[in-house]
Formats: sequence, C-alpha cells, structure tokens
Amino acid sequence: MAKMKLATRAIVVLVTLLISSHYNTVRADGFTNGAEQFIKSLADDATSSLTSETLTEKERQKRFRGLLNSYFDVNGIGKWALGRYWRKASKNERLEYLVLFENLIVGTYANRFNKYTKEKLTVEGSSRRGQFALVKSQINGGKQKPIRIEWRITRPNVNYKIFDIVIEGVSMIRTQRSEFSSVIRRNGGKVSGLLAALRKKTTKSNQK
Amino acid sequence: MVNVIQRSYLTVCMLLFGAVVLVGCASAPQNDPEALAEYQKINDPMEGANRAIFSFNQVLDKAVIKPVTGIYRGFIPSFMRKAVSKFLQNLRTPITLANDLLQGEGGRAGDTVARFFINSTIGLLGFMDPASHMGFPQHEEDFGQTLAVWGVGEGPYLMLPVFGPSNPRDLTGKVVGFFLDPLNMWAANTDRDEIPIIRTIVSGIDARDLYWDVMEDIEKNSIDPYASIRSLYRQRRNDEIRNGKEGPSTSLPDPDRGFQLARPVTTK
Repeated sequence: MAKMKLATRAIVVLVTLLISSHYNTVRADGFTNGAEQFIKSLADDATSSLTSETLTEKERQKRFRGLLNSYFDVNGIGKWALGRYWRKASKNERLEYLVLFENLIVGTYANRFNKYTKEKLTVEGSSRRGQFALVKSQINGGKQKPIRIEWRITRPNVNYKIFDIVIEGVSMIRTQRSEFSSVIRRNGGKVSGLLAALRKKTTKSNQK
Repeated sequence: MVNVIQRSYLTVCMLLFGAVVLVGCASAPQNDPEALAEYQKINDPMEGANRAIFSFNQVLDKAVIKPVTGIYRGFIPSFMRKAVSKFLQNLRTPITLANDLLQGEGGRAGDTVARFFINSTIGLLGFMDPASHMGFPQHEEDFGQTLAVWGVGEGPYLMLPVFGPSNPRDLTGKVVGFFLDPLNMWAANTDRDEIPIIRTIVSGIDARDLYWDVMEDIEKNSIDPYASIRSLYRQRRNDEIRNGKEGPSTSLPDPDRGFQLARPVTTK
C-alpha cells in the first residue's frame, strides 16, 4: 500500500514537472523576445537622455540613477556581489552597503556617457538558460572591431531586470564580487572594512 | 645585448622572489569550508608575493611605461597607432597559424593564411587590414591557449615583473611562442639581437596603449586594483580559450542564492 502511494506520488511529480517544463518552453519565446525589446529600449533611453553634451555632471548622474533603477536589479546585484558576506553583515551594514553600492555604480558609469559617440548597439539574438534570458548584442563603433556584449536578464516580477552584463567574456558582477571579497578578506573578514573603502571611493567620485 | 637584458630581468625576478620569500605564502584557511572554497577558487596561493610584484609593476608603470605611452599617444595620431597595432598583429601570424592547427581549427587556420597574404601585400606589409572586410575576421592564438585546449590546467595565478598577470601555463606558452617565432629565430641566427628587443618594446607600448582606457578605469574606480585585474585576466583568458563561445566554464550567477559561489546552471 505504501509502495502504491509512493508510485502515485512519483507519477504526480513527474507529470507536474513535464507540464511545468512545457509551460517554461512555451513561455520562453515570449520571455526572450520581450528581453530583446527591453535591451533595445534601454539603448534608446540611454542615448536620448544621457548623451547630450549640454548636461551638467550632476544632472547626468541623476538621470543615470533613474535609468539604473528602472532597468537593473540593483539590490539583487549588490547582494550577489557581496557573496557569502551578505549573511555575515548586520542589518545596518546591509542597508548602508546597498546605498554605497548604488553610488559606486553611478560614480563609475554615469560619466561614460558624457560625449556622443557613433557607437551603436545591435541586438543579435537571445536564448534562455535557467531563469535567465541571455540577450546577445554588439557595439559597433566605426572601423573598430565590434565589442561583444551579453545581457543576463531575469523577471523577478512583471518587469524585466538586468542582472549581469558580460563584455567580451568578462562578467561585471563576478569581477565586482571578487574585488569586494578581496577587500573584506584583507580587512580580517569584516564587512565594515569594505564599507569604509566604498565610503571613501564614493565621496571622492561624487564630489568631483 | 639580449643576454644583458635577460640577465638583468632575471636579477630583478630573483630580487623580487627574495622579497617574496620574506613576505611568505598565504596559508589555506583550515576550519571554514566556505573560506576554503573561496581560497581554492581564487587560486592565488602566492598572493603576498604577487602583490609585491604588482606594486613594483605599478611604480614602473607610473615612472616609465605610462609616460612613454602617453608621449606615443600624444604625438602619433590614432590612425597611425592602429596601423602599428595591425602591423604587429600581422607579425604574430605564424604563431597564430601554428596554434590554429595544433587546436584542430581548420577554418580559422584558413582565415589566418588568407589574412596573411592579403594584408602583407595589398594591406601594405600588414599596416592595413583589408582582409577583415573580405570575410576573414581577425583573431589570435598562442601556445597557452593551445595547452588549455589540450586540457592543461592554468596552475596558480602569477604576477610577472613587467609583463603582468599570468600563470604557469600561459607563461610556458609565452616563452615557447617567443623562441619559435620565425622573425625572432631569424634574428637570433643572424646576430640581429636588436630586432626582438625593439619588437618587444614596441609591442609593450602598443599593449599599454590598447589597455589605456581599461587601466584608467581601474585606477579611478577600483577599490582593489590587484583583485580586479586578477579576475579580469582569468575571465578574459577563458573567453579567448573558448574563442568567444559558451562553455562549461561560463557559469551563470544564481540570484536566489546570493551567498553561494556560482555554479553552472544546466540548460532546460
């Protein structure tokens, strides 16, 4: 009797798995196509709102922060970049870290859009891996060899969010994590050491 | 002349390794499995020594390499610097071809041969690259990549004096590539020692020029440049080894398990 029960349960599990994986593949096309559109709209938004040469640095940073928060899973990225130390951090440390992390990203990337270049982003296609839609694209800048960029996108709720950018095989989030964990290890495994370094870095780049 | 330079390079290496012995090696964490996993993943048991060499390289860069490259960038217009880059690339063709073949990449070997003939002739000795527009895209291979394709592991991370990030596998590849390079062999056999020296120096300036923006970026934004470069080097190298394709080592991060080390996610 117990065996029978087990067998029934196994079948139920199998059928559920089959249905859900079928559901996944059906949804996959819509999911990855939507992700491609999402990247195209990011490229358009970034070009139209950030590349004007008359923007003040402050205004550009403000707009960049807006785009960052609507297109990227900033807190998820920050959490992942902190790795296993996220658990070791206290509640206050976590809160401060997420604020500093966002400031670091803004300080690092906002000013890269300070001149209009002829570079163009072309979306080349997409695929699905696990919970990610991977959108492949290229940046073409005149006669230079094109740069390969892969966007790793999730959909935690109704909205798409970028989780990682891979440029020529280099994952931004992974590079960030190895840098952060190195700083923490060199500060005796304390998250506060990283926070101090981030504080110093972000006040410097935001004051400029 | 080569002997003098080789000897002084070796002296610098020995002095630095002397310093390294004093600094000592980091020992593996014993009682924390997560810390141990992280230590193994970073694969940098000589981190103390490597960081000492990295500091030396930074001083050298600030004092000599960066200013020289700055002058090069200031006086030579961009299109001419690109031409120099292409010329040096064309000179590396024999090594790329040998490694295309050793890796069994027939199609890419064909590209390499076609590029060499097109660019060495109508590409004006390789200063121009018409082959790219004729359907033969540029790529490079070296013996380090071939060893990787053959299954040789990278070994512990190494920071080389002057030459920067490496590992035993890539260092072996570099040395083999230097001695098997036809131009260097010809120069050695005909007592033209200055040729490989000039070539190495110009290639160094060209490389520093190509990485100018990346280096500026790291200098400005990184809170641990040593760790950033270590991660960048590894990821970039793995991408080169796979020729830009996806492979088992292109694992995806798992957003739900932010605290775990990433592992490959199987395709559905």
